[in-house]
Amino acid sequence: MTDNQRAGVGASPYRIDGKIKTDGKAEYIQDMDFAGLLEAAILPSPYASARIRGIDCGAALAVPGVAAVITGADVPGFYGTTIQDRPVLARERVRYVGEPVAAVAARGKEAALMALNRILVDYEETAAVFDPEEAADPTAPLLHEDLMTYEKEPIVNAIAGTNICSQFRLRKGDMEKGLALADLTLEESYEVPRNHHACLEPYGVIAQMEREGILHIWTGNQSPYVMQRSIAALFGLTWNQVRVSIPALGGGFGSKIYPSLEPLVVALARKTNHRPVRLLLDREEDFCRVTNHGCKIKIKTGVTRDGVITARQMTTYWDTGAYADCGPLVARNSGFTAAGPYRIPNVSVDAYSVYTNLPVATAFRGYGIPHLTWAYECHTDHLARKLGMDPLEFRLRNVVRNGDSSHTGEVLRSVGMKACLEKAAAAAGWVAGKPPRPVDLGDGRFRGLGLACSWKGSMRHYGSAATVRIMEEGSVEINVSNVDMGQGSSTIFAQMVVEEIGVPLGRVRVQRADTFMTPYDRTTSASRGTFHAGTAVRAAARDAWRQIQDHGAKVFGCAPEEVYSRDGKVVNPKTGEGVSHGALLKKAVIGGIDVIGRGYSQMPGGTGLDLETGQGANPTSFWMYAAQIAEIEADTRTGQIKALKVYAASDVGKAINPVNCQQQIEGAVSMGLGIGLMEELRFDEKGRLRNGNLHDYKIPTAMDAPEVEALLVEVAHPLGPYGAKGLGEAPVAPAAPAVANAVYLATGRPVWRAPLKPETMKKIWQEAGEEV
Amino acid sequence: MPEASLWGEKAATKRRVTITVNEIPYTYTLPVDLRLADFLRECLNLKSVKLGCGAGDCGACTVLLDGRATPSCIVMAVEAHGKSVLTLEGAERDRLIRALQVAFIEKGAVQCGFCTSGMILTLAALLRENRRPTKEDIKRALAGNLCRCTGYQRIINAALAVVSDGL
Repeated sequence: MTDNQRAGVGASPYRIDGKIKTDGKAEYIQDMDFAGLLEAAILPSPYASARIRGIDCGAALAVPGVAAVITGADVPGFYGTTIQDRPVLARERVRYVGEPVAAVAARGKEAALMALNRILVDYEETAAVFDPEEAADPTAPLLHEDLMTYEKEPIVNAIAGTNICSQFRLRKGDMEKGLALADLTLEESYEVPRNHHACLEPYGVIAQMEREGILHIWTGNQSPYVMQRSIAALFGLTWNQVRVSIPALGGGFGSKIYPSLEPLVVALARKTNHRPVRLLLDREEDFCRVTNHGCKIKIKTGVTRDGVITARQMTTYWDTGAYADCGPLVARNSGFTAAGPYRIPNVSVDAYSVYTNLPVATAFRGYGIPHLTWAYECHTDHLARKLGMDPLEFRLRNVVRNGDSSHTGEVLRSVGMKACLEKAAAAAGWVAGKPPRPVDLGDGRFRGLGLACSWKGSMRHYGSAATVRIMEEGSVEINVSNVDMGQGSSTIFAQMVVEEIGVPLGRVRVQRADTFMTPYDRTTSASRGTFHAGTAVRAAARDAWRQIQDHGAKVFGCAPEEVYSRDGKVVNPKTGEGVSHGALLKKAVIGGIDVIGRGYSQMPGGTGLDLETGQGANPTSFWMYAAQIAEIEADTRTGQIKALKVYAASDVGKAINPVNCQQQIEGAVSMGLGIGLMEELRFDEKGRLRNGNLHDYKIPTAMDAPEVEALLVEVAHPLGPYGAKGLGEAPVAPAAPAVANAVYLATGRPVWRAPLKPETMKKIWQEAGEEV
Repeated sequence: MPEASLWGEKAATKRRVTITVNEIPYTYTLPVDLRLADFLRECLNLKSVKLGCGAGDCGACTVLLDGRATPSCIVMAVEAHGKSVLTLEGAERDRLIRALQVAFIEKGAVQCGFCTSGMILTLAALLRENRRPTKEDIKRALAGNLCRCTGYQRIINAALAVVSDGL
């Protein structure tokens, strides 16, 4: 790793945080040291639904070392990402098993736990509902009687007197007409149960009311400014009184975008006489903090005999859990892509985000798209078989192209869907019209290929800002509030600065996000980091470079635009000699100065979606496209399915760092296969999580790892920096349905519910055997 | 495995132990229920040891205990009495571990970094025992170390690179 290694845009320098991580020196929240630190512990609700008749904390306060005990009565107000429906601690009633009812801060975890044991809560259990479709029925027990009076974001479309906290509707064309044009219709129901992010780092947060009046929060969170503003609103502080500092993150995947337990820790920290309070969740608590949504999906499609899709109708029920969090946004933002990356003139989507008496479901890498892709891609293969068509050929006939009108009426540009399908197919040796034949291994095992594709929108334009500081001795600092949680964004930003300014990569450092130091960024989510924060970083670097050129012009006696950079140096155009950035600054400015470049990502356009029809011309900054072909081996005797190889193509617009792009795709495929083959949170009839740990909840291990051939398609985006689009989420979605389709192509046995666990598959194959 | 005699003593809630950590012997009187991971992190400030699950499921807290890759969250500190522990902080002069660290960077095997310490130490233990492991051997050795970011391919490739360099 030398400074002269090519490190600009399009190269793959090693990650700039590689060394601190391989040395074990990256500092995560659990590694931070504080003097006088108090440990927090939470008393969880044992009931999925109950009235709280009384809480007695007297004995808890008497435990030696206890600094604060709080209950719902101590913390007024509500918070929430889309609906302000959530108390910091339960008030009057509890709505899921694990909901915080009381919390303690004490010297040492042991004292905190001892105090929790002495809190007496008198509950009266009430009726609960767990299935989102049942919960959507007006006769179901209501979780939130005050739903209609809560404060809400404009996208929320709640239905009075129900548990539907938001409904998204999309209507394009004429459904009846579309179905009438079809020669064949197919109606199916699919289900993807709740699964879990399982970041290797469990969640943690530290809060301190500093003596000078600043509320300081250290949290492994993806969105420091969302946190700052939510906490300020909840506790009546101004934004400049709330400091949110982000240490290293051990993965995020959507589980750390929004405030979850931070308000609770802040509420404790306000009662500890300026001592910092730390909450570190153990793994079982982490499983109940937030989860992915579960989803039930009904899909009906009409096709003509020659394989043209004429209409598609979808109804989805999202299991949002006890509080809305981002459920309404998941229903909406996945809703407008729900019919899949296909040209369909007549589309109808009804997506319901529904309260249930289960833990809060939040964002998960893909924001609902993996669930929908599971449904519409398995469905697509079922349709292809009915038509007697090759699934690849059927898709190529119907996928969206440049200039097509999307389901919301957007004119699509820079569309890489077909290119992704073609690239994956070429790599796997799948020729359109000739589906590869499965191979019977003769002992109950077979091998085969399956295909799936997906698209995902990001979100609409939201601002990002960045500064790039060139110090007088020549080192460079990038200030940006995008959070590198493992996706590699800090290296991407450093490469952009190398590209624009010509400094060596080794001179560039990227600051960790801190609302007192790094400028505004909306969120690290929706695969928007490279696109939006990257745009801001590039603009800041260009601004800094213009200032270097001005200094160079003075020192060299030339015009600013004649100054250029080469081999990490600023070149005097008259002599061709290069000087370091630092040496130039020293010559140009007496007494020392930092060059500070400023940059913003503020893009034109961006529309909402009509609440009735879901129509809107520009609902997302960019689209992502992905296609994958999975080669599997299935054993019909044991039900075991193993992914051997996955050919995974993604349209990245422009690969700023090709290896980094491949890393994202490889990790996404692994996560997608987890959803497809093994991962499922199991709740019992009382709403208690039964497998909330990493031995009962299996995620893929090295033993399960297939070979992944990550293929990059580059259809440049006109607004993206250097043409780049986002990447992180889209490649999660196709892996699971590609595996299911490989099974279907080989056996003709359809599956509708993920994951394809051995016990499920064994039963399916036994039944198949009996039929024969 | 806990030694029977150790747990047979009724009254002993603390024990005096000597544990060699990163080649330095430490003598402490420790509670018998203190986990080795907490001893390393809290008493010695060795924070390369990450706590991911507390149940021996994820491997993030893996250390070398007398050369064996061991999740330090399910071993009590007193069980390490008379034994030697290696963490990444003590590996600066270890050629094999240095080679693994470099290979992890060069092969792109690092993303969030939380599993990385444990991965490297697990592979170091494997490669000390078997200088020519196959890809399957490597996968089997890593089965107890979870990673949510990489999909494992590059971690396996980093190990293979060190194998082929013949260190």
